[in-house]
Amino acid sequence: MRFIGKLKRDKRAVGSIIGATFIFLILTSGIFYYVLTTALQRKYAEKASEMEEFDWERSREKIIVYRLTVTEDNKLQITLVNLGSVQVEIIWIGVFDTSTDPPTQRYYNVQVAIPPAANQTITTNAFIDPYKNYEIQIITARGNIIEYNYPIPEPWGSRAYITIDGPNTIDYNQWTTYTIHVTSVTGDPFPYVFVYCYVSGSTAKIKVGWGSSTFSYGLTDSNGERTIQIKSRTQSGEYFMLYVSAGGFLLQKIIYQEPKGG
Amino acid sequence: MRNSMLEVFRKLFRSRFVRDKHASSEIIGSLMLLLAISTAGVIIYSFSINYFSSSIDAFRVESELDSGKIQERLIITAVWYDGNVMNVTILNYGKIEWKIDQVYFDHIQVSSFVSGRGVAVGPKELISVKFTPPISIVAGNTYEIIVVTERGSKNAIYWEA
Repeated sequence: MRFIGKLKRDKRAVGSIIGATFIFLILTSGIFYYVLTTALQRKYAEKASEMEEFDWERSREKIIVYRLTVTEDNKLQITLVNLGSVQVEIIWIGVFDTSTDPPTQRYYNVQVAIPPAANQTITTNAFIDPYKNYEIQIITARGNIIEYNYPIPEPWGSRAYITIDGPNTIDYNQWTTYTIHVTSVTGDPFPYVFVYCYVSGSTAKIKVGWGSSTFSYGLTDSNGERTIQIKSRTQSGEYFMLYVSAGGFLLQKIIYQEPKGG
Repeated sequence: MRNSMLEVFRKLFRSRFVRDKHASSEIIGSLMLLLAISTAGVIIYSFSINYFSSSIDAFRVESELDSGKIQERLIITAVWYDGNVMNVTILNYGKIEWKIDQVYFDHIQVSSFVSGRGVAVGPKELISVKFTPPISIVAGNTYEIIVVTERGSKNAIYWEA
């Protein structure tokens, strides 16, 4: 009888151990599954966040062509200005000969980085026939594409002047008027031409009529003039840059905003 | 005397045999029970392992596809047509390489590729995908061209012939 009783107790013990072992194994598998899925989700979230930042930086890129010329040996030379708040990397320059049908398309690989508020001249290997028309495409590493035509249509080329009338110093949070003049070298005004303005300050804004932003664009009036208003409200005061671009040309002016109450 | 001793021995042997028979049944029963528990445990464990591994595999595949897809970026930079072959130039401005899998020309799937399809394109690289348009091109008309990668990212452009 003792033998049978012992066997029953052992049976229960062995059964419990086996059951506990399987439960432990199943729980371990579940925990492993949870840890792995969490790790994959975290990895995905990191990549998504990285790409969101990439897209945000892409939207912050702003470059313009300051000069588009041909060297003595007929190579395309482009001067670019970075008006944005992030460094821009130029990776391809496309040269499309639009005088043929279909246009001859060639891409030239370049690796040029332009920091914010800086300019850079790129001399490409692209052969340019001065008597032909080309479409020039500038492609950044973040996928932004800027297109210009060569030659730059008249009355541009090398014949335009931009001047900015307005103070070098402005008060805190006060709209101040600036007048932009676009003229020829002989002083003749260029009416109804496109002008792009941009301010680089952390709190600086441009206003033309209603609404304000860090940039403004529009046409000059019949006198070749465009009037804008600028305001900045950095409490400790700040230097910032006003960029004005018209017809592929750029003029910049340093403006100082005085501190609050200063 | 001899007969009576034989009778006693027979009785003793019978009772012991009966006890031993009971003991064997208990052992066999216990072993059967253990076997049943073990089998059930193995079945449940195998099921759970299969479930977890298949779930992990499916999740991993889906996650890798999604992770790849969110890192893909492509943009059509140029299109030209020489009267026979359409050439679409595409820039990879994403973080990983991709391959063009499908092109839709005015919502019709392109079936006749000349080059560029299935070619791996690394970050910052350009690819020229050439194909025969599935419909006839009329000068002055505008057509929508959609390029799709193997992971399903796409970019579209409206091209005027």
